Amino acid sequence: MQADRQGTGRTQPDMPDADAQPEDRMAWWAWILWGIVIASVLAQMVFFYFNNHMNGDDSYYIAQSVITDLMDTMYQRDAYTGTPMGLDVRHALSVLPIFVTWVGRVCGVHAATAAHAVLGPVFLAVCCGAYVLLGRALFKGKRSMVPLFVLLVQIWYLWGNISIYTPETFLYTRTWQGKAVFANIILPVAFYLLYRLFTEWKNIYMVLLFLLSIAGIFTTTASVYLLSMLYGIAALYCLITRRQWKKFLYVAVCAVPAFAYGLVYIWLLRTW
Amino acid sequence: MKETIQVIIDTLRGYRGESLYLTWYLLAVFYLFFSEKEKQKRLLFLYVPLTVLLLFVFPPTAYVVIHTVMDNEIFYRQLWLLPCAATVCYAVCHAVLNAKYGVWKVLVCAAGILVMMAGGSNVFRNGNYTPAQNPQHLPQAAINVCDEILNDDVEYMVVAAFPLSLIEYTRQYTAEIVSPYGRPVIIDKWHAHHALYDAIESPVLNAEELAALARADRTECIVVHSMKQMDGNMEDYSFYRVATVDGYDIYMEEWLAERHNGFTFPDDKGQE
Repeated sequence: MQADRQGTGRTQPDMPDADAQPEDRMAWWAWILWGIVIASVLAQMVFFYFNNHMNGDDSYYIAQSVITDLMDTMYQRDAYTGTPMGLDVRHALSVLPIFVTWVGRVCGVHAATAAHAVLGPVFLAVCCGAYVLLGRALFKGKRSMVPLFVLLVQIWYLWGNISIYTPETFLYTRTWQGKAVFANIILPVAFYLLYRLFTEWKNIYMVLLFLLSIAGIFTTTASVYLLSMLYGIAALYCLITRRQWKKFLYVAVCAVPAFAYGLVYIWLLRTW
Repeated sequence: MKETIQVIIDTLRGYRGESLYLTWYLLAVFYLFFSEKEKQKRLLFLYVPLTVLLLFVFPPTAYVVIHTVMDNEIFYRQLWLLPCAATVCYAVCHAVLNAKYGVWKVLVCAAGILVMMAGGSNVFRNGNYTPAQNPQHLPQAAINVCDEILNDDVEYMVVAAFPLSLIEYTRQYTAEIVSPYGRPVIIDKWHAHHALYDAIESPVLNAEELAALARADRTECIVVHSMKQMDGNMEDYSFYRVATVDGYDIYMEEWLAERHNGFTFPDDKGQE
C-alpha cells in the first residue's frame, strides 16, 4: 500500500510495476519440465557410469593416455604396440588424451576410468548445459520455454542414433573423445556465442569466441576447418547484410587460433 | 567431378541412415524461413547452415574440401555444422508459442516429440551397451590376462601377442606390455597384416609356427584361446604355459616363465 501523499485520507493500492514482464515468470509446468530434464541427465550419467560402450578408437586414445600416465611422455610411443617411435607429429597437437591423463592423476584413478567413468558422464552434463545456455538466449523473456527446448533436445539426442556419423551417436558412444566434445559442446556453445554477439555486440562475447576457438582446436584437428568455416560464414553475413567491416573483422579474428593451429600442424607434418 | 558427386551422395545417405532426421531438419528450416522474424535467429538457423549445406553439396567446393582439408572418410563432419537439434527443437517451441490455445500447444508439443521418436533410432536400443565389469570399463578378461602376464619379479616390458578379442583392450589397461601388432591388423582397409596375428587367429594352432613367428618378432609371450586345438606342443619350442586365465592360455619363453610368480617347470623339464 502506498502512503497518502495527496492528503485524501485514503491509502492508494500498490500499482503493478509497468516494467515487469509476465513471461519472465516461470510457469508451474516449466518447473516440472526442469525436474524431468535434470532427472533425465542424472539418469543418463548414472547409466554411463555403470555401463560401457566399446569403441575401437579408444585403443589409440586411451592407450595414449595410459602411456602418458605411466611414462611421462607425450606421443613418443606407438599407442597400438607401445614401441618407441619419433614424435607422432600427426597426433602430437592433440590435447584431449593428455587432458584425460591429467584428470586421472588429479582424481587418483586409472586413465581409462577417467575417460569412461568420469569424463563420459561429465561431458554428457556439459552438453546439456550448452543447450541450456542456447535455450536461455533464444527464449529471452520466455523463461518457461527453456526447459521445454532442452527436453526436446534431450529427446532428439536420445533418438539420434540414426547412423554412426551423427553428433548424437558420438555423444552417446564416444563421449570422452575429442570429436564428440567438439560436435556436442564446442559447436552448440559457438552458436550460443554467435547469437549473443549478434544480438548484443559486447567485447566479452568476442573474447569468448576467441577462447572457444582455442578450446575447439584442443578437441580435434577438424575444428581448424569447421570452426573457421562457421565463424567465417557468420562474419561474411555481417558484411553482406549490414555492411559492417568492423564486425566482420572482429568475428573473423576469432578464427585466428584455429588458423594458426592449422599452419603449425601443416608445418610439423612437412618438416618433422 | 562424378566421383565427388558420388561421395556427396554416399556421405549424405550414410549420415542420414534409414531415418527421417534430416527430413525433419529441412522441414524445420522451411517452417522457420516463413515464421521466424528475428534477424539474428534467421542468420544462425537459416542462412549460415544453408550456406554450409550448399558448400557441402556443391561439387566444386566439395571437391576442394575433400582433396585439401578432409578426405572421403571424414567429409561427413562438415554436416556437424548444421545445428539440427537446436533448429528442430526451436521450431517445435516456436510452433508451440504460436498455437493459440493451451490444448493446441500441448498437441503441437506432443506431435513434435512423437515425430522425433518415430523418425529416429533410440541409442540405448543399439545393443552395444554392456554392464561395466570394472572401473576402467574394459573387459575383465583383458585386465586379468594382463595382470597375470605382469605377475613376475622382472622390471621388464614384456612383448606379448594377443588374439582378436583382447588386442584392442590390453594397452588401454597397461602400457607395460608391448605388442608386436595392434588394432590396425583387424581393420581390413588399413591393410596391416601380421603373420603372428594370423597364426594366433587360425582355427587350429600350430606350435612350431607360433614359436617361430614369435621369435622373429621378439615376442616373449603368446596368448591364445584355450578352446582352440593345437598341433604340436609349445614346450618343445621352449614356450611354457604359465597360466590359463578366463579362457586364455598364456605361453611364455623359458627365461620369462622361470621368473613368473607361481610357475614351476614340468617334471620332465626339471630332469633335463
